[in-house]
Amino acid sequence: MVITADDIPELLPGTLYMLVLHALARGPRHGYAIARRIKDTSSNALEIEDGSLYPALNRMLVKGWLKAEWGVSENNRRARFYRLTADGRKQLERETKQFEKLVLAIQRVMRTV
Amino acid sequence: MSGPSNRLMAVWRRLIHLGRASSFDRELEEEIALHIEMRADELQQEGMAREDALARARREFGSSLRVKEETRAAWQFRWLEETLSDLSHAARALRRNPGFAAAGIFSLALGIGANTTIFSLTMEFLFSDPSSRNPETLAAMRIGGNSHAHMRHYRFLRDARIFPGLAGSNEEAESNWRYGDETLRLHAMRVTDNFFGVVGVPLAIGRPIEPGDGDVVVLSDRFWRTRLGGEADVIGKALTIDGRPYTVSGVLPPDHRTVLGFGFAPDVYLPASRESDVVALVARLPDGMSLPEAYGRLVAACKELDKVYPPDWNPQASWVTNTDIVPVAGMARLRHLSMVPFVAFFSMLLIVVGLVLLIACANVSNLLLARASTRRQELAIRLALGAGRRRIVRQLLAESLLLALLGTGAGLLLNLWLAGILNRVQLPLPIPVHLLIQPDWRLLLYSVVIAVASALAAGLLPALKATRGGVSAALKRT
Repeated sequence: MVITADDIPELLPGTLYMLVLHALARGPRHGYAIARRIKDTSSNALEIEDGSLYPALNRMLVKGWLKAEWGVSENNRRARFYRLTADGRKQLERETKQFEKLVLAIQRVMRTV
Repeated sequence: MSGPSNRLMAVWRRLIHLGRASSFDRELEEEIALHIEMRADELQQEGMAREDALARARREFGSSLRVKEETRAAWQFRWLEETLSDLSHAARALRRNPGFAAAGIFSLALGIGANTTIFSLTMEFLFSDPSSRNPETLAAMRIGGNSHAHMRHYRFLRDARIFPGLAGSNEEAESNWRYGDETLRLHAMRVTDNFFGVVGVPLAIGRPIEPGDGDVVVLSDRFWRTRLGGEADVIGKALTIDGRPYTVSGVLPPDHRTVLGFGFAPDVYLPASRESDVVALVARLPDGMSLPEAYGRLVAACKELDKVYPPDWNPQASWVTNTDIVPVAGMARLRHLSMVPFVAFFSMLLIVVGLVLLIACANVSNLLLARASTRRQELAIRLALGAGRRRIVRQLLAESLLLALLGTGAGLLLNLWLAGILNRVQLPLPIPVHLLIQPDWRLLLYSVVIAVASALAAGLLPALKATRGGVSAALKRT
């Protein structure tokens, strides 16, 4: 499937946290890697607006879902790495469940003729 | 995870963040720069020239200023910062209008100064505790309806050991003090030798009158400073009082309050050593003993007293008649019947100054109303631009709150000044009364409550009125 820039759908509201949490589920990443990861795993279908990533990351730090530490990136630059906390993992589980329920429900509605 | 503990943790994280806000800005900038560069690296690999790649990455990222702003907002206390901005806006508004501000502050300062001074006075008269160890277990006693007991009756009750301690004092003792060639009158409190021990009166220097002491004297701070020069070597010196030499054994602290209360302030304490002395009784009750229980013990002792010393005015009568026991401190003292007139008097005073403050608030309210009519245009424009009514009411209330806080500050200065005068004033009474009004946490708490109450009383109505009816009404009125 070829997707042009115009086809990139806007994120469903409220799913940004879930996507970020999911992107961090398999280990710490820095901000750019999080954005990249979401873009790649969605085959470029989802793109996080750069402007909303950092405010969201910081809101999640305040909520205690993430921890941030300075480390060294793959190209040897100082970078801030975000890591899931236990609370963050629980939040991911909860949001995933809710999201699946929602999607199923919407699909059920849409398939009813 | 929206439990209260988690919310508390979020507040905690924000507080910690406050401490490192400056490094936060620097780090965020570094993070954003890295993000843009990494995107540029990627574009370069796809074959773009470095310059173009950087420009494109920057464009994609969007306004880094807005990102920084929003990221910073994640860590902010929204409510607090809005309030602070309201207050600073209010401060600017007041500074632009110094005449209005001065009138409002002056009016509130008078009302609040009068109000808090009467409050301080009430606290001093009704709620100040005597200087003693555990004043709550001290109680004044009366037997046979007499305010004072003869020494032999006092000794009988003391030796009956109905309470852990029983002492006596006589406050109506005018004495002559021989000072060089002069004889000056001073007001002495004569106390039984165990009085200081039973009551637990703290001393500033020296030691109190103790059982077995001969002719010793304890000085009040005022007497020591004004008459004897306030020298520490006063201990051990002799004072000739009523023709007898007394050795100075100690000096009371400046904040000494007598068991009698009401600002009664004798110059010296002397031992009640004469058989003809009469003393008012004060007892130290055991911890946790209720008043009726103590009364029961006292009545039983009075019946014994009847057998040994029948009442002198009528041998058929009993000491039990009109015997009572009253706490000397706290709320328990106020509940006693004899305090009712005082409580009523001070309640009335508080109501009167409450009305004075209300008038001051009404005054300020009028000023605010008058000002609101000159600000109609500003308010109309802000409503039209989409400011919520709540937000504008809050803004206007911030102004009256600021006014009230400034008024309270000025009022407290007035309070301190008036209290100083009240403390110094020599009341034309046959007994020495010196008030000891000091600012304390109760006054502070009361002032805060008064400030907020006045802000609401003065500001709420004008604020609601100024914003009533929404945009169209506001515009029509202009």
